Amino acid sequence: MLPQFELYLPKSVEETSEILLTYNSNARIYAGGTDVLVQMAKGQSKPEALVDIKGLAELRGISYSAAKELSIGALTTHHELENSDLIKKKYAALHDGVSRVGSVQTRNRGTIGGNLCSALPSADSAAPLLALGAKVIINGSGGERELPLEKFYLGIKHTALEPGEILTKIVIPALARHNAQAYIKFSRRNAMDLALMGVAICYELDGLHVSKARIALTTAAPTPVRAYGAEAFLTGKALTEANLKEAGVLAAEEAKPRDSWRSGAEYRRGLIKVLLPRISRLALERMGKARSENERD
Amino acid sequence: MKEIELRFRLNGEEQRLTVPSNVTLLHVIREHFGLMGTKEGCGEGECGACTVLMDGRPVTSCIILAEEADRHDIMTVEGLMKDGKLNRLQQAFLDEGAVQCGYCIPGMLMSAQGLLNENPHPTSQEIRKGIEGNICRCTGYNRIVNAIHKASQDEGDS
Repeated sequence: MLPQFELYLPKSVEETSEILLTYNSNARIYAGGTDVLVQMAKGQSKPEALVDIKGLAELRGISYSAAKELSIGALTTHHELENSDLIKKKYAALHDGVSRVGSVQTRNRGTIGGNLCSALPSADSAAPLLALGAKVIINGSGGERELPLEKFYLGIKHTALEPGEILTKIVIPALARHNAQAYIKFSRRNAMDLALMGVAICYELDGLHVSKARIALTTAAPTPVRAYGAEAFLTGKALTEANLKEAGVLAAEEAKPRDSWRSGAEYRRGLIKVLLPRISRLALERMGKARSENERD
Repeated sequence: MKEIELRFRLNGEEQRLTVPSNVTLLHVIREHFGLMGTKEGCGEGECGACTVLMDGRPVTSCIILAEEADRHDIMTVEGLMKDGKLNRLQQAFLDEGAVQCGYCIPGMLMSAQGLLNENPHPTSQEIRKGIEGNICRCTGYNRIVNAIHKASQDEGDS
C-alpha cells in the first residue's frame, strides 16, 4: 500500500500552480507515474499531495508552428512519439531515444515531460533533445518563460523549475534541410535498464561540411550534457573517419562520467570514443537513404 | 484523504466504485474485484507480472493509481476468454507448452494481446520487443515467442 497523500486533479496551469504553491515543496506532479509511484512504493518519496496533471489538455499533442518549430506537449507519452511518423522521419535521434526508454509498459505511461523533469543523467529523451537544440517552455505563477534545455538542468534530480512552475512544452527549432542525427543507448539489457553510456548527435550539413554540430551525452556527467569541444572541432569539417575519431577522443576527454556498480568511469570514456564515430556513421547512412528516397519520389 | 468515485469498464462490464486515492489499480483489480489472475511481482513496474490493458495497451497496474481507471477501459487476463472458450493466444500458449511455473503468464498474455491489437502480424523481433517488459524466471521465452507467433498466424477474431 502506498503512503497517504491528498490527490488533486487540476484542469488548468493556474490551478496546478496554486496547489503546488500551497504545499510548498511537499507536492509532486503525477503524470505517467513511472518514477513517482515507484519512489513512493519504495518509501523514497513521501509527498503530502500528488497533482495529477493529465487533465491539462494544453500539455498534449505534437504540432508544427508557422516557423517550422516542432512543439511537443509535456504529457506526450514515449509511445506516442515512438509511433509518430513525423518523429521517426524528421527527428530520428529523438525516435531512437524514446523507443529505448524502459519497456512497452513504461513507454505507454511515461511522458517526455516527466523524463526531463526527473532530471536523471540517464534520461534517454534528454540527449537527443539536446542534440536537436530543444528549448523548454515553463509556465506557472510568474507567467510563461522559455529556457534552452541545457539551462533546465541544474544537477541530479534538480531542474530550473521554480516553486509553482511546471514544464508545459518542448520546442525543437527548425533544422537545416540536410541533417544527420541519431542516438545510441549502450546498455547491458535491451529493456528496463539504464544506459552505461548514451550518445546523441545532430549534424546540420552544408554540402559535405558540418555547418552546425550538436553532440550530447547521457550518463556522462551529473546531468545530460553537450560535448562542446567535440562540436567545435567538427564545425566546418567533413565527417571523415579521422575527424569522427578525433571528435570521439575530445568528447571522452570533456565528459565527467562516474564510477558506479553499472560501469567504471574509464570504461564509459572508452564507450564515448567508440560510440560517437559509430553513431555518426549510422546517421550519415540514414541521411543518404532518406535523400535517395526523396529523389525517387 | 479524499475518496474517489470511479466509473470504468472492466473486462467489458461497467463498474462503479469508490476508493481511497492511495490505492493502485492492481489493488482494486485483486482486492475489490477478486480477479487474482493479475499478479504482483516486484511492485515497482519492473517485472510485468501485473500487466493489464488500459484502452487496449499494456500497462503495469502496480504503478497506476486506481483513480486513473475513471472513464477508461481495463482488461485483465480474465477478460480474454469468450463464451467460456480460451482465445487463440491463450490456446497457443497451451499448445506450445509456453507455461512453466505460470506466474508471469497473465502479464505475458496481456502484453502479447496488446502487441497483437496494434500489430496483428508481428515479426519475431517485434514479438520480443513486445514482451520486453515481462520477465519469465523459468526463462521460457522461446516457447512464449513461438506461441505468440502461432496465435498471430491463426485466422479468426480476438
